[in-house]
Amino acid sequence: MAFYITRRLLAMIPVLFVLSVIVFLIIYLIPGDPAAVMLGDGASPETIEALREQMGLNLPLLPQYLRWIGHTLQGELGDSFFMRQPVRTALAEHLGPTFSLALLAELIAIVIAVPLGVRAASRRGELADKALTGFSLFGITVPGFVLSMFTVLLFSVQLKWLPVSGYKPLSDGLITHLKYLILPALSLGIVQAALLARVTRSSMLEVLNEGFVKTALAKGVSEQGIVYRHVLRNALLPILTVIGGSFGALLAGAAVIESIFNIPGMGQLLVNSVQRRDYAVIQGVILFVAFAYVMVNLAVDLLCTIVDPRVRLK
Amino acid sequence: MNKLYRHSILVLLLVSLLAVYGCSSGNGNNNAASGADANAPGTAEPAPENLASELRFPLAQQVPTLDPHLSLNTNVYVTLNIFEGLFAFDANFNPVPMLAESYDLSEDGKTYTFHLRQGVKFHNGKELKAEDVTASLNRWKSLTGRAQASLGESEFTIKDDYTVELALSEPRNDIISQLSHVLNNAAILPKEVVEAAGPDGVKEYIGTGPFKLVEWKQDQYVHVAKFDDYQSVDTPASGLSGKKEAYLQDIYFDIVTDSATRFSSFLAGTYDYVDVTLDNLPQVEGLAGVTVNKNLGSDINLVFNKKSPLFSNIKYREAVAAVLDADEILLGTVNSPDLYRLNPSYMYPENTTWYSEAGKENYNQKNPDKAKQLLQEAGYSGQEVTLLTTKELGGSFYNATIVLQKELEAIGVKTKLDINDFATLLKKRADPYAWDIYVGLFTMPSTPSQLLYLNPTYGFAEDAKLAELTKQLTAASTPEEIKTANDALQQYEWEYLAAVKIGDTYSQSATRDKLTGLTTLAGYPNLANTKLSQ
Repeated sequence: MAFYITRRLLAMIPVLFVLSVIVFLIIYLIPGDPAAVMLGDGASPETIEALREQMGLNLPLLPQYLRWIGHTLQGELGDSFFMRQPVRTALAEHLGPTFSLALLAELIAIVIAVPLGVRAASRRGELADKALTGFSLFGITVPGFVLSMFTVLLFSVQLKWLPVSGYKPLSDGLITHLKYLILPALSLGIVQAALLARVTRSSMLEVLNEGFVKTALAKGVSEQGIVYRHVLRNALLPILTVIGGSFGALLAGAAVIESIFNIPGMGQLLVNSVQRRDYAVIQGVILFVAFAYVMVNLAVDLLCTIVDPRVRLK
Repeated sequence: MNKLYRHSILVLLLVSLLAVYGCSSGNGNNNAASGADANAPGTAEPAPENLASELRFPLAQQVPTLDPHLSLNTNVYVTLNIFEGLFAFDANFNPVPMLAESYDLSEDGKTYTFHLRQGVKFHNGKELKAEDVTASLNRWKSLTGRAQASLGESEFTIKDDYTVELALSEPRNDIISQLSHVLNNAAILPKEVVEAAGPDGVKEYIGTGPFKLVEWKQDQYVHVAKFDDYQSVDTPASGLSGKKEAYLQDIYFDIVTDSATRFSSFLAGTYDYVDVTLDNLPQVEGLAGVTVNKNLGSDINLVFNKKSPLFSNIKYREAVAAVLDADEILLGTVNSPDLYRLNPSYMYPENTTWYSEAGKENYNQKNPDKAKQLLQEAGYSGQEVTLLTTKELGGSFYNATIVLQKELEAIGVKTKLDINDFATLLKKRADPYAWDIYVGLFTMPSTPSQLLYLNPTYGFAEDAKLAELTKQLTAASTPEEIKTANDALQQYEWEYLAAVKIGDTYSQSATRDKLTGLTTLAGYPNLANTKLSQ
């Protein structure tokens, strides 16, 4: 196991390196100048030039890359032009909201999707199955931002139960923390649930048709016992993989939802940094997201061996 | 299992309920503004009982820097409340002394002597002296294009602790206006702060204004609090000038870039002030306890790239000016006849010193035949005209540009829309080979010398007569001289066509009646004298 994990981590290095080069090049190919963004219309050309010099933008591409990768290898990731802090600090500050949001959204998705998918599979063709089809169609076709506007209008503007937007950290109390997160998490969670419910249903159906289910039935095991203890456990691998993938995507920051609910997470950080050409931050976020994806996948793979001991890590 | 089944039905029901509620929210009764975000105000001293001590104010755009000398239009909302200059604009854009007590101008119009108010304190407790003024203003000059154009080589010098002198090489009448302008504001900061500044701005944000900075959380909020030692002037409050008294202990400028979120937050009671788009207008017009205000916002101008192959030729510029239908472009930009006005002058009629109608026969010509004739004379043979624009900043630039595109195509001009994000637009606009025409919204100038497009760095106007007329204009001293020189410059602007004026636009905002005393200038809020009832 330890060998496997080490190997997977080592395999990440070339991926991150290639990614760093590509990201660096793409960023410098898009036009725009952080110095001009910071100084605006009224600035004199000499002022802009002085700032470019200070930002290190007048160096040729290769020295700029080497300087950045040097910082990165030391775990520094460079400094933000605009945020007056190291990229590492900025990432750490924005990770909290995104992590909370992703976790809550994923929980909502699982709580909705797994029972719904299980029920639909065991009552195939009946009302529960049709309800799932309807729900997943709804979840897949209605974009999260539309859903979020409806939930805001209902729960915040009309009923005034929840705040419209903003974020409060966990240190302000769990209830406050959740009050601000529940609407965005719901908007994200329902969309994820739609996909997850379908995967659960089809994975369950596959296992339900296997011989051991008939054997269990013949032995007189209760239906609930079969579905939850035997079938669901066997059907769990694809479900876990989908959960892992969607959690990774949520960790990358849900830019649209974060922007609608004004949550200072990774998605907002990336969008803001692209808008003002804060190069070091863009690179840092993308590297981090790639890293998070790999880590989540690794965690899912390890989880699979626990759920299904037949799976062997090589 | 039956439970599960019921739950899934419940979820579906809830979802459909949401859709129904969401669709019917337009006519809701939203007047119970209890405030969804009930934070305990962390105040130092208790406010009068009926007044709230905390205000949350939504900002539509990011704040890249809080350095007042580098201020862009997005930062001014905050910096105007923290920093002050020697002079400030009143409601009619007349400069009024703020940190200066008074000033003298020498007979020859070349030497300005500024007498400072005594006993004015910075937020760090230090008293404002002449050394702070000279350090600040000399830095301001070195960073600001329009200041360099006005001041030339001259610098501010210390006469004594409370007197500062500016000796110019030629007479200029626009110095006081330049010192009052809101963008790249000539704010006074402590000398130490100025000296520690790098090219990316000052490291500390210390001013003399009625509010001091507490915390700036990038991309989230700027928190300012009442400055207890603020020394107000006694003149009546007007625009950004005159008496300022902070009734609010804490102000949070929340950065909320999504316009629907800002508006929902207003409806939910989080904010008591919000910008209102035309789509949202019906929702606030019927609300009890809410007033909708119309503010003169910015003016729209079409700027030519005077170095581009086509538009370096005056005939092409004249052709475009001839075809323009200002009403059509303005309506396409703001979508309502109530939100714009035609104005042939580069300045606002409110600005009585500099408003001029000279050359107005070239404004809003709506004459496609003349335009075609001019194109023919210029020898137009189907070259593509690049229209530089952005969909950011609320879409106004883009909307104006597509109406222009339609008008140009109607006379047979081949056009290409070049749509960029704002950062790219800034870069391209500085490049003489990247564009032909750019339509933009401008924060109102207070003197013609602040017009960006008369400047060689913005659209590349290089014309000896234009430079000479501008020089005469700024050298004029008596009202008659000013009027003559101003008319001459505007007349020539309409002939040279560095840019074409399209018109003035208004923006709308909604204010709850419990928020009183809030004044805006060019859309920027002065939050001193603002009271919020509980």
